Amino acid sequence: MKRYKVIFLLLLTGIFLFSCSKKMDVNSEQFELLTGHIWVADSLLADKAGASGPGGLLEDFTGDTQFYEDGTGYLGIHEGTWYFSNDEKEITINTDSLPIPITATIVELTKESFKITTSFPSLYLPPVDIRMTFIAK
Amino acid sequence: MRFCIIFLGLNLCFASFANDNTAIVKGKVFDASSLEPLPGVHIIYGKDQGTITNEQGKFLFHSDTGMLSIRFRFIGYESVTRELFVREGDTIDLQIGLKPEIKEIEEIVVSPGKTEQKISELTVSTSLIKPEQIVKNQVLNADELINQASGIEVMDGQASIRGGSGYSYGAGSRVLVLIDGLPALAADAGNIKWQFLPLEMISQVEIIKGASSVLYGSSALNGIINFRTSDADVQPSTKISMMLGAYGNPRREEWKWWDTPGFFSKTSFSHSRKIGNTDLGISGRLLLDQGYRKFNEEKYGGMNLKLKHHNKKFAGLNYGFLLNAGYNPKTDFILWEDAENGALIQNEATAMKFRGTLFSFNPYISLEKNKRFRHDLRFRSQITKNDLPDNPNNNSNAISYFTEYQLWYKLLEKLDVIFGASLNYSKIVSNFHGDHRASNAAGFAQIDLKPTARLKFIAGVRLERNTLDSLVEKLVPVFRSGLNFKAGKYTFLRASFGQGYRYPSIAEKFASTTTGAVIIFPNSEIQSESGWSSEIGLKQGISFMGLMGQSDLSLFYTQNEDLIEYVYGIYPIPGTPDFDDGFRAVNIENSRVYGFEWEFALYKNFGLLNTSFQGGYTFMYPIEYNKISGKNTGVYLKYRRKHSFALMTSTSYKNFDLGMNFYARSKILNIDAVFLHPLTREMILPGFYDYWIENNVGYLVMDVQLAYNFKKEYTISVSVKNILNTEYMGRPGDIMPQRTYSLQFSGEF
Repeated sequence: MKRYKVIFLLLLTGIFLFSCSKKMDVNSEQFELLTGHIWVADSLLADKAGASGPGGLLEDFTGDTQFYEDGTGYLGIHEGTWYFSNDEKEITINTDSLPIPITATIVELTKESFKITTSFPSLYLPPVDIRMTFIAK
Repeated sequence: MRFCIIFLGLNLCFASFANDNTAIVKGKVFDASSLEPLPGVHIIYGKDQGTITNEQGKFLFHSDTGMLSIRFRFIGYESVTRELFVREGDTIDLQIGLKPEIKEIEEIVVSPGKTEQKISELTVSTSLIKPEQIVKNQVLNADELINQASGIEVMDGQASIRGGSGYSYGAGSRVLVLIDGLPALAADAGNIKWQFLPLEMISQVEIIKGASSVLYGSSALNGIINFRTSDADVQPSTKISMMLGAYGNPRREEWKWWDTPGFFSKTSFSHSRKIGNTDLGISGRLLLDQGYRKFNEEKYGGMNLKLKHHNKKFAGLNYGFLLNAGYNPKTDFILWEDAENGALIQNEATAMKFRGTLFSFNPYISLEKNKRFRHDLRFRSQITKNDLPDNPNNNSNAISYFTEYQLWYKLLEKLDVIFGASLNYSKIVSNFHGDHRASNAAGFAQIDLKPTARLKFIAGVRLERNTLDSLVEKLVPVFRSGLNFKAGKYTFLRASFGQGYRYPSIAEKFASTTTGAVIIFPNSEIQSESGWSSEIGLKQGISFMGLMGQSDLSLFYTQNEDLIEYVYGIYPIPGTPDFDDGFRAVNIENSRVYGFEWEFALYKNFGLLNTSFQGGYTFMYPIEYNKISGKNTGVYLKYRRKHSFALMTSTSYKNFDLGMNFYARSKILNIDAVFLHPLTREMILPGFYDYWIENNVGYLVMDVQLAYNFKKEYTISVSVKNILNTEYMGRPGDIMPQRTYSLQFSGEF
C-alpha cells in the first residue's frame, strides 16, 4: 500500500513538472521568412493604379518595412503590431494611423518577395482594393 | 366525569414523578458577550431527549439519575456540552453562557474542492451569495444578482471575475456557470443563459475567483459560478414572491421616448418537502419586462423539479434528478439609434426578436460509505433552441450530454483523494454556425493533505482532450495547488496557483452573419486560450465588542495568453477574393491583471437594532503584455476598470428592515478602436464618441429597500433602485437602467 502511495505522489509530481515545463515554441517557416528580412516596397497599388507617389494613398508605406519577432514592426513610416491568422495564410497589421486593423491575404512569401492583397476602408466611397509587393533588402 | 379522569391522570403523573429516580435540571442560557438571554436554544440530553429555552432563555427538564450529558446548541454560537452526575431528588441550576461563533468562516461550500469544506479552510478566494439576497434586493435576473458581488462585473451578460474577461459580443465565456456542479453553458455560443438558471430554488451561489480548469475543465479559465439548488428540510417549506415595478424617467429628458413608463413584474414560487425517504422540490418563475428601451423587452416562464431519494436498504445511497425547462422570448439590445435623442431606442436594423427555449435533465446517483469514500455519477442533458422569427437563417439548435464520475476516498486520516473522469458531447444544428459535433474527454485527480490540524495542502491535475468535428486537438494538462494555514483561532492564510484554458466556442469559430450594418466573420483557425492565476490571502474572523463577521484580503495575479477577442477590421470574405469590414474572433490578447481585493461581512446588534454591512473593494491593473519579450506594452485591456466597490447595508428594528446598497466602479480603461476612430465611429454607433469622451468617468449607484415583516411569514417591501438616477454605461452604447420603483410581496411558510 505504501508503495502505491509513493508512486501516486511521484506521478503527481511528474505531471506537475511536465505541466510547468516551458513550452518549446518552434517558429514556422512563414514566420522565419517574414521576420528574417528587411523588406522594401516595390509596388503599391490602389484600385490597380500606382499609389506610392507624392500625395498617393499609400505614400506613407514606401521605404523599408520590417516585421519583428515580438509582433511589433514598422511599415514605411507607420509603427504598429502584426500577427498571422487563418493558418498563416493571412497577416493582420494594426497601426495607430489605420482606423481599424487590416487583414491581408498573403499571396506570396518567399526569401525574395512578399505580396499581399487587402482593401482600405473609406467613409463615403467603396473600399479601395490594395495590392502591395515588397522585396527583400 | 371528564374532569375527574383528567384530575386522576394528573395525580398519577405527579405520583410517578415523585416515585421515579428523577431529578430536575433547570437554568438559563445567555450570550456570553452581551449577557442577553437566548431563546430557542436546543438542549439535548439523554438519548433522543431534548427541550428548548423559553423567551427568557430559561429551561427545565426532568432527568434520570446517574451520569448526564447535556448539549446546548444554537445557530451562530459555539455548542457547549456539560457532563453532570445527577442524584435522586436533585435540583440542578445551570447558568450557560454561549460564545458567539463567526458563521461567515464556518460556511460550507462544495465548489472549490468538489467536496464539502469550510470556507475558511479553502486555498482559493470564494464568495458566497445566499438566496435571501434575491428577495431582499428585489433581484430580477441572475446576472443582476452576480453583478452585485464584489470583484465581478457582468457586462451585457458576460461575466468577468477580477478583470479576467472583457466584452466579447456575446460569444464564449471565461467564467463557467454550473448548476449543482454541472456545466450549464450553451453548447453553440458558449455563453451563459442567465434567465434559465433556477434562481428561486438555490441554496447558495458559490463563486471561485481564479482559474479552476483542473476540476471543471474548459471555460473555467477565469473562475466558476456554481448555482447550488436546495434540498428539502425536515419541515416543508413554501416560498412565494410577487414583484411589480416601473422604470422612472431618465436624467436627460430628451432620451424619454415613452408616454407610459415601462413595467416589469416577477412572480416566483418554490416548495420543498420530504415524502418518506424522498425529497421533493418544485419551483417556477414568470417574468415580464417591458424594458426601458424601445425595441428591447423580455419575458420568461420556467419550471424546475428536483427529486432526491434516500435508499432505505443501503445507507448512504441516494439518487434523483433536477429538471429545468424554460421559455424566453425577447428582443435583445445591440446598438442605439443615436446619442442625442435615441440612446434608449434601439437601432431598428439590429432589433431582432428572439425566442429561446431550454430544457435540461440532470439525473445522478451517489453512494457514501462510512465517511471513507463516496462515488458520484452525474449526468446532464441540455437542449437549447434559439429561434429568430424575423431572421430564421440565424436559428440555432444545440444539444449536449455531459457525464461525470467522481470518487472521493479518505486514503489516510490526513489524506483525501479525488479521482474523476468526464465526457461531453455536443451537437449543433444551425445555419448561423453551421452543423457541428464536438466532444470532450477528461480525467482529473486531486489530493487533499492535512499534515497537521492547522495546515492543509491541495494539489490537482487534469488531462483533457477536445474533438471538434473530425479534428482531434492535442491533450491539455493543467495543474493546481494550494495551501491553507490556520494561524490563529479566527485567522487563516492561504496561497494558490491554478492553470486554466478555454476552447473557442462554436460561435467564435463559425458564426457568420450580418446584424444591421455589422458583419460577423467566421474564423475556424482560432486556437484555445490559456493562462494561470495565483493569489495569497488572509481571512480574519472578527468577534470584538459584539461586532461579528469576517474580513478577507487577497493579492492576486493572473496571466493569460492568446485570449480570443472580437476585433473589428478588414477581413477577406470567405470563399471570395473580396474584403469587407466587420468583427472576427482572433487570438490577440496577452493579458496580465495584478490587484488586490478586500471583502467583508460584519454584523452588530444594538439592542433590538440589528445592523449588517457586507461588500468589498477591488483594485485591478489590467494590462497587455508582449508574449515574445514578456514585457508589458502599456496598453490597458479592453472593457476593464481599475476600481470597483460594493457595499450592502441592512438595518432592522422590530418588523422593519431598511437596506441601502452602493455600487461604484471607475471608468472603463480601453475599448475597441472601431468605436473611437474618426473613420468608423459614426458608422457603427452614432454619437458615441462624444458621449464617451464626456461620460466615461465611472459611476456610483445607490439602491434603497424598505421592508415590513408581518405575521412572521410575510414581507412587503418597496425598492428604489438607482435612487440617484445615475446615468452610466456598460459596453459601448449600453446605457444602464435609470431609477426604478418596485413593490414586492413575499412569504415563507
